[in-house]
Amino acid sequence: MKRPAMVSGTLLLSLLFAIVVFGPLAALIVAAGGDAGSDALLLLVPAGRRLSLFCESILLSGAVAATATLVGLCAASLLWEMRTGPGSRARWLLLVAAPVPAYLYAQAWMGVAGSSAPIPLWVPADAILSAWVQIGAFLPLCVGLSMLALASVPPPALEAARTVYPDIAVFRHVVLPLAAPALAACTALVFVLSVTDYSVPTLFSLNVYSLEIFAEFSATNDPARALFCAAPLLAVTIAVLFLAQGRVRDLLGGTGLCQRAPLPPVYPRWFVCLQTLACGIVLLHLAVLVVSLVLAAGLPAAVAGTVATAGPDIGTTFSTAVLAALCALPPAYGVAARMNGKNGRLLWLLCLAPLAIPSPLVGIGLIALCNTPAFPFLYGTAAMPVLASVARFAPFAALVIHAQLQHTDTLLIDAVRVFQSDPLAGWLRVRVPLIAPGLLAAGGIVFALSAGELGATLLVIPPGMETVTIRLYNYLHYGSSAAVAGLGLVMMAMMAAAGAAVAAGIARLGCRGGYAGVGRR
Amino acid sequence: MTIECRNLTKSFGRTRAVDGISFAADGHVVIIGPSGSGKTTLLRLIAGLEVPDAGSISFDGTPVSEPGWALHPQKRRISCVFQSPALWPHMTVSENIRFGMGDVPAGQARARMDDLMERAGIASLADRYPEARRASIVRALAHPARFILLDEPLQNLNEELKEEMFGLVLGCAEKNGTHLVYITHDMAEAEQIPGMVLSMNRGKLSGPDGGTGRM
Ligand SMILES: Nc1ncnc2c1ncn2[C@@H]1O[C@H](COP(=O)(O)OP(=O)(O)OP(=O)(O)O)[C@@H](O)[C@H]1O
Ligand SMILES: [Mg+2]
Repeated sequence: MKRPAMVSGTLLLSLLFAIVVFGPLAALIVAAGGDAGSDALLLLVPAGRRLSLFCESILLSGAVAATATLVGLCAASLLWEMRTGPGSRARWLLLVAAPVPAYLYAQAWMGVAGSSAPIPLWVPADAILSAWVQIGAFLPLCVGLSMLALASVPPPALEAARTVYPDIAVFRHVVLPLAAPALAACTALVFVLSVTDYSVPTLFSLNVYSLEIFAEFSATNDPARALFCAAPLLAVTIAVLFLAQGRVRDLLGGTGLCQRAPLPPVYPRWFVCLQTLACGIVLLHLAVLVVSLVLAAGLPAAVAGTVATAGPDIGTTFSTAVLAALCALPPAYGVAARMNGKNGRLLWLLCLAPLAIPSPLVGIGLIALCNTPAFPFLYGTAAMPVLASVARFAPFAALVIHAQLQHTDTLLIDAVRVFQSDPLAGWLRVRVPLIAPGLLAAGGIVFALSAGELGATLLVIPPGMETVTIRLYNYLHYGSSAAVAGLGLVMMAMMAAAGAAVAAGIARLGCRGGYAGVGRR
Repeated sequence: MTIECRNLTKSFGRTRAVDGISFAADGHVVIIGPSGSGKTTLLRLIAGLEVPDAGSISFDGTPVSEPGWALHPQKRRISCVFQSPALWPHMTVSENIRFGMGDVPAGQARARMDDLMERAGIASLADRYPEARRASIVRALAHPARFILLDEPLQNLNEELKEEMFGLVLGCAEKNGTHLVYITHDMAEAEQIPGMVLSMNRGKLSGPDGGTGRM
């Protein structure tokens, strides 16, 4: 019997995924294996100044991740109850804020503190300010993931407890334990994102370990040294993701977002205060972000001027991000489709692993890849930033598409196999529409993340080209100015467009399950 | 202990799941009716898990649900067997039953729990993670309640277990003086429960005497 053509199709796409996502790292490892000097090997084990920097970075990111998850959970527990009325829609607007890059928050808070001093005097330490800004930047993500975590608690278990206990006890004994794995996954993810990000700390003149990787490569131009320098960080991030991976899987696979609206819970006053405070922190960060950028940007005419000068950069950013999104989707789909089959677990791990790779390493690896005989023609072309973004963010797309496939009723696809003899029609009329929200969400996420990508792009962008993010980042070091704010607004508009697409996609993705789980696997 | 529903109405979007139901019962209540006729919704209204759009519910003459307001389920002194087992997946079977008893003192709880688990034949499942429908019934029986609300509690049990569990439920109700609100598709079961029979169709009471049968 002939095997369905799809199988080989997804296999090819998965191979493509592996090459694009892991090619840079593989090239880096090969290059490093070739010329590892003994002093380079010393970098593998941090000691002295590097050791204390390493520990500080991990502590800082741990604190950021724990606090952001906690605040996110408290806020989510309030927002999650808003199932009807305007609140139920407004909460998904947070998704729009999720991809806004952290350095824009940094810039906004610098604006609040006064444009003359990048480090305001009323803050005890640059570490605290840096952590505060990172927390703010990750909060929309944490609130979103916490809402998914709360959604993963089966409503019957919840209602059964409500007939016996007051709501706060139900929250403590049933909701929290059941949501805990997902919350742990959220903490792990934020930790990894925070520890690999150096844009915010450097803006507050704080040295962190991930900057060390970048600095090492800039100083020596030696990929081996960069890789060895990154190794300890890689070990930690991979370990954290590995511990959390099963949880992320549950989080994406097992939730139905549209559940019957139950009675709103009645919580004691202290808990309501906590929830309100958490929501206040989320709103404060968003308000500071928007208001301070708008104020600093000045009159619309000034913004228009900034936009006009940055015109080519905006074009570059937009086309790079769109291309990255388009290129990421097919290989991501290929991997996602195979995740439920044989070796699904391995594929799943392979998708999570790239999240652990610090962004400069992807850039350095891509350069190393171009130094191999296979892809010399890529070096110095506009394809490099696109490839860098695909390498970094295609795994996100695969995870989102996988979640969508999990939520899609496989019976509907079986039915089209039975009733529809024309495979193309089956694809266009049933399969694509069924997973369209997921594709849209995945594309939107890759677009937004690519537009804000800095660490890898900075290394691979060809001379004479510039993205808005790079221009912004260069400006930022000279303090807050109207031009930076204007560009920041442009970035946010791009993010908002992408975020709106994601929000629309996810809202539909969630509701397709419908009442009583009809349509879910 | 009486339940009184007056003109009770609940809609979901355009579906009128429960449509103007009135009855008063001092004793067991059996609810029958075809699939989708609103039985579960009526039970959830009585449990306080849904708020009525119109009409009211009172227990022993005290209002517990009114349009836009419902007394918290925990304060109603009820217990439930849900249509799905609804066990807490992170607790073992005995933890489920113990946790379901609320603030019953430890010593008393232990004896009651052991006795019920023994009689339901699930003592050997005590340390297992939830899988048994019987556990959800025992959990409801163990809770000190004045009404036990049961939504097709015996579905998916084999004939022998059905009979055993049915006897256990009726026996406990009798012993503790608890009243049952019992949804079933099985006429034989319905006939064995003394009390009022509500026959529902499309959200309304149907049949002779406006759907309220023998008392
Ligand atoms: N939360 C809800 N959202 C939307 N519609 C609902 C909801 N709950 C119930 N319904 C609808 O209300 C009607 C009555 O449902 P209900 O579950 O009360 O019926 P039932 O008599 O218990 O059926 P069954 O015997 O199948 O359990 C159905 O049409 C159902 O689709
Ligand atoms: Mg029902």
